[in-house]
Order: sequence, then structure tokens, then C-alpha cells
Amino acid sequence: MKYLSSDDRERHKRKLNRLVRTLAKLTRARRSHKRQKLHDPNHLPALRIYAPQAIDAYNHGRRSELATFLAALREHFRDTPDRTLLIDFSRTKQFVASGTLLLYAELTRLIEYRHNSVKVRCTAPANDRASQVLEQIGVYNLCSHRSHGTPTRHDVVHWRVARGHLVDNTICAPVIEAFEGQLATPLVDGLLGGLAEAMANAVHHAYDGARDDGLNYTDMRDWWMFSQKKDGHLSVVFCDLGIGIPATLPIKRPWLIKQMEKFGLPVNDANCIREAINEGRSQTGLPGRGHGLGNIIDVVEKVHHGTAIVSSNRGYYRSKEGTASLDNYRDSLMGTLIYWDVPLQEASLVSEV
Amino acid sequence: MEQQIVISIAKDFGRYPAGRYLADGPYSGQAFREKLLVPALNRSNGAVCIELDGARGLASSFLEEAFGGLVREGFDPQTLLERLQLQSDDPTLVQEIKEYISSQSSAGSH
Repeated sequence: MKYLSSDDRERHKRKLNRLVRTLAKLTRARRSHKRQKLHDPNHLPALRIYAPQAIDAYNHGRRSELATFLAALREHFRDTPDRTLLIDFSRTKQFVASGTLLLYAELTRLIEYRHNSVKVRCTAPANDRASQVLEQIGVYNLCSHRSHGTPTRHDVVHWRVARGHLVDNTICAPVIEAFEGQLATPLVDGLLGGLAEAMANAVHHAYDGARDDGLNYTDMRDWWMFSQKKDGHLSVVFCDLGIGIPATLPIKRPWLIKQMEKFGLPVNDANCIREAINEGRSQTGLPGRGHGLGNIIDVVEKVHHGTAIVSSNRGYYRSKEGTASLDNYRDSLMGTLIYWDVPLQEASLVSEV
Repeated sequence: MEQQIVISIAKDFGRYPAGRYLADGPYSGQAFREKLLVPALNRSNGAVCIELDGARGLASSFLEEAFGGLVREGFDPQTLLERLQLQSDDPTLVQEIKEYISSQSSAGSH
């Protein structure tokens, strides 16, 4: 044990006193700042918007909640940009890939719409997994929320987000190729081809008009991609926040609308998506080599337990192991969401895709 | 005897070709056509071998613009089919390109 000299003891004492005084000063300043804010007639408290329990774009009920939540976010950025936005995730327990990508894309778009001038904060979910998801995909970062540390959960650490505005697969390839040993080579090629088509669609067609969200914001022509490894499956989701396939079809493919009318098919969003896909598939007539949206669906056509979904605005078209289904939701996505789900490992046994 | 020109998309152009026009990105179909295909076809009257394998995610927009675009630039489809030797383990890929040359399909898909 070392004894300090009386001089050293005095020096340490003075140092400690200085620290105590500084701390007290800081506390007083902080309290005074808080009081000033409370009495400042120009200061507005943060506007709190609650995120739904589940961030899901495919379940009917949950999709409505997500759509309402996203509409509230848009409204805040449009009408009250001078107020701090507090996104309250405290009730959120589940993040489903497609809805999560949509939330991330919408949030980044809104932040850039107001040139980063809107203060966005968030409260963390009580659920640990949900909190790790927000950390992993960068939502905490977008909301200037303190880091909760590097995610550790095995069902979260494989979530990846990518974003771009060009048709450039060098951005997406590392994400897909990371699963090379667990996916058949043609399937890796197919997913990359599908992503290239999705990017081309986003860049060439999705932003041909103003999105019907009241923001009149046309500067951004981005796409977002998200991948997730879960329960032995790889899910890849791609989205754009454009005007949607049902809105572009009458402009780009008016004959398809006439064809639907001729055969008495209702011109709704789901039927528009189906027509666009079927046209792409019939253009090449080759198995697994569709054109455009047809190519996107063909990726999983022969994959056992493989699924592809093209959702745009209110409609969706799903292909599961070659069987197609389609329907319309009540709420619009206000954009296009493409989803592939393929099994890992088992897929490597599939020789032909 | 004329020496055959060989172009490997993966080695000579890019491993991840995607997109249609130059503005789409660095590895577009138009860029491939203008930088490699057209100069190779103009260099001689012989065969031009295109190695497709190794390039990943070859999508229709890239292929149509690269090869279908040759016809739009004035190359005769029949001559192209004779001169271009398309090599791939995937026969549907070769067939698709030949179809883009023989009958131009409309661009885009949304």
C-alpha cells in the first residue's frame, strides 16, 4: 500500500473539488436549459408517433396499421417539420422483412425530403430482438439514437440493407454471394438477375410521375434492398417508392389495359401486376428466362419451397412453387415491393432452377 | 485466315453486368455494346466469340440492349447470327440473345 504525501493529498483533493464544481455547474446549466425550453413560447414538444406492434406489409390487418403509421410519418414531415419527431417503438415486438424495408426506405426518403432538417428521435422497443433489428439495419442511426451495442442474436446479425439509384449489381452481389455454398449456382445467378430487373424497373419506370403521397417530392429515384437469413431460408426484399406498377402500366403498356377490358377483367392493381408479369414471361417463351417482371417471378419457379411476391400499391401477385395467386389489399404500399424467399442448404441440392 | 476475336463478359467487361443504358450504371448493355461489341465487329469480318459464363445475373434488359441494340445500330441480324458465337453452359441464355437479335423486343417491363 502506497501512502501519499500531504502535498499529493492536497493536490488530489483540489482536483476532486474542481470536478465536483464542474459537475454541479453542468447540472445547473442543464436544468436552466430545460426551464428555458419549458417557458419558451416558440418551443414545441416532440410529436410522438407510435409504431405498430408488428411491422408487416403482407398480413391484411398489420398492413393497415403499417400504412397508417407511415402516413402519419409523412404527414409530420409535410406539415410540422419544425417539430421534433419521436418515433415510439416501445410497443413494437416484430419486424417482418418486407415491412421493415418499407419503413426504412420511407424514413430515409422523408429525412432527405426535408434535407436532414427534421429532428428525428426514437424510443427503443422493449423487445430485445426488435431493438437489435433497429440497431442492425441502421434505424437507430437515422434517429440519432444511442447505440445499444453490436447485435448478437443469430436471427438478427444476418440482416443486411443496401440502397442505390443505379442499375448496379456490384452493390447487391456481396449480399447474395455470401450464401454461395448454400444456394445452387443458377439460383444465385437468378436472384442477381431478378435484382437487376428490379433495379432497371425502378430506375426506368417507377419514378415517372409524382407519388400520390401529397409531398410532391420527385428528386429521389432510389431503390432499397434487404436480405435476411432466418429459419434456414434466405429472404431478399427489394423496394422502390415510386408510383407503382398499376400507375405505370397505362402509360407504358396501354395495350395490356385494353386487353384486360376486352376480356372483362377488372382493371385493379393485382390484375395489372399479373398482366405485366405474364407479358414479360411470354416475351422470351424460354423456361426461367422471362423478361422484366416475368424474370423476377421465374427466379423461384422451380425452387422447392421457393416463393416470389410482387406487390405494388394495393395489389400483389404471389408465386409459390409454380402456383400463382393474387389479390388486393385495402391499403396501398405507395410503391413496389419484390420479395424472394428460398431455402438454404436444401436449395444447393437443386440442380436446375 | 482471320484470327477469331474472343470477348469474355466477366473478364473483359464486368462480373455483374446490369442495366440498359449508359445512365443506368457502369456495366450497362449499351456500355458493353459500344465499348466491346461494336469495335470487335468492326475490326474484322470474322467471327466474334462471346463468353457468357462467369458473368452473374445476366438480365433481359442488359442482353436486349447489348445484342438487340446492334440491330438498331444498323447491323444485319442474319450476319450477326452468323458471326457471333455465343458460348454458355445455359442454352436458354444463348437462345434468348438470338431472339433479341432476330426480333427486337420492346424495352422495359414495368
